[in-house]
Amino acid sequence: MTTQIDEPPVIRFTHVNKDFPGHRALDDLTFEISRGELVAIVGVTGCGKSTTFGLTLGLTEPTSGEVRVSGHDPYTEFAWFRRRMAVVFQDPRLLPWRTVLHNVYAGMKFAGVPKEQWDSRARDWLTRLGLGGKEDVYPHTLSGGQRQRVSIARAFAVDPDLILCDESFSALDEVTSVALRREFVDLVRDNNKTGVVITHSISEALTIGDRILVLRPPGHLCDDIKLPVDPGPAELEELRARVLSQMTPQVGAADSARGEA
Amino acid sequence: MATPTVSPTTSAPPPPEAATTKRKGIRRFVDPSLLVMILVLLGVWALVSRFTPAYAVPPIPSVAKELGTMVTDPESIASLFTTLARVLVGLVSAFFVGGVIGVSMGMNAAASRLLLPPIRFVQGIPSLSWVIIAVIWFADVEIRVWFVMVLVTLPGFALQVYDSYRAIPSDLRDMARSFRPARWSLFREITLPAITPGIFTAWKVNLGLGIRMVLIAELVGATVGVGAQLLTAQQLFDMASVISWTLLLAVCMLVLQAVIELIESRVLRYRPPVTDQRQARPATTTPKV
Repeated sequence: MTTQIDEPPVIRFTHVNKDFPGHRALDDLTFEISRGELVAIVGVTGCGKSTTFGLTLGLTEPTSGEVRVSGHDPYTEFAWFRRRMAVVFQDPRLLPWRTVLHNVYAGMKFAGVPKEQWDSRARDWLTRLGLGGKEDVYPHTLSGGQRQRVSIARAFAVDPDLILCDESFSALDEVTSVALRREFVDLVRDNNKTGVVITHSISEALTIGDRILVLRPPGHLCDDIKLPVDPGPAELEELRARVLSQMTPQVGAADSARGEA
Repeated sequence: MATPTVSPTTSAPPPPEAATTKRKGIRRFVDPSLLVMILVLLGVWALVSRFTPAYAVPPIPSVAKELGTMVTDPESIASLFTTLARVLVGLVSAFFVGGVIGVSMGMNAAASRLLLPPIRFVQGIPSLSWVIIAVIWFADVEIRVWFVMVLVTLPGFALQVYDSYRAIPSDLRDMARSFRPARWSLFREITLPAITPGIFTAWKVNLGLGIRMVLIAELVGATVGVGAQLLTAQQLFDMASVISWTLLLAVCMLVLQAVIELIESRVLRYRPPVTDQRQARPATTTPKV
């Protein structure tokens, strides 16, 4: 972790509420994420993960409270975040009419990266992600794992400060998912980025993050866990039980009751 | 920035062989069943023409002779090219106006509410009504033909572009928006490629419609063009000429369709090949009782 003293947090949610017609998606959510941290936000379906993601991206605005990313409002200062933020979505969202290389170009074009840098950056990232030689093929010829690699290359090629992942590895098979997750963590750490991974998988959260923020419906933070460096199996099992009990209190209570019995 | 290079763990399976198999020899260019059908039609035509007067069903040799004369006669060629030029000018005009209307309706809900009812209303007006209106409103033949062409084909372009715009996956837009793109980049990278297949469909449909309409428009007042030539042939009971002009125009339309399909296959080359479902289907066995 490379947090610096006096540096403002990269992401700061302050008493954020978000209401949709008929229900509250986020309830008084407050947390901070510092520069260089890799944080997993975990919770069951409907706990407000996607809403938190949308607010951080600036796709929607809070009903009340304050969202700040690098000290700026991502909703009202939408354009300020060009080249400062990139997303890896659950499905790769590649442009079917562009080759692999041009898909990576597209991200840089959208983000306003100077054109003369597109080619070297795109080829570099595709090679790092094991897609050298696939530059000129169309996405439909790739496997799911390769497509997701292209989307990771597209995000990193922009060279953003903050990388957001929305369930990015959950649609893949277990082997590919584990390999990609590991690559992603290495890339974030080696390139000194700040990473936020939204996930519903506890094991994914435990392997990815420096910290885990546990959300519980209706969108409030019920635990903020700082993960130890290189935890042992027993420690991991303990953490898993803690996260599970926070995500779903009734399951946690039942487990405790069984343990006591 | 040193990062380990990791090989992909999986790769996509190769496409089924049936999908990539190409036809060989003459069958690459001509479908054998089409060839058989043409031969059967010619046989029926030759048979019928033996028992009917020439003004009703002329014999094949006289039509062939008429066709030969046409393709070497500068005046006939001028008529043919005039008609084709009218079709293309009308279609290009309708495409640009219809395309702008379609995209505007897709981008803006207010524009959609405002423009969709009149577009649908115009689409419901019979083509012949536009011909009559054009004759009353405009003295100039070229303007009449252009007016009819645009009014008849514009709704097709506008509605096809509008529907294609609405079909753009919101996932792609959100992906692009996450990078904070300029409007032009978004249009160039997402909107335009996404609506392009719909534009080709509209062109293929409107080309046939346009050729049919231009003939009707040329029948009223034009002195040059295939429509005018057909009117003259009808007045002279010259059936060989009528059939020759019709065949010539049909061939021109097929050539134009082929050109559009060629451009389409180049522009949309990213699309995966179509697999033959009959070959892809697994063999089924009927259980013996």
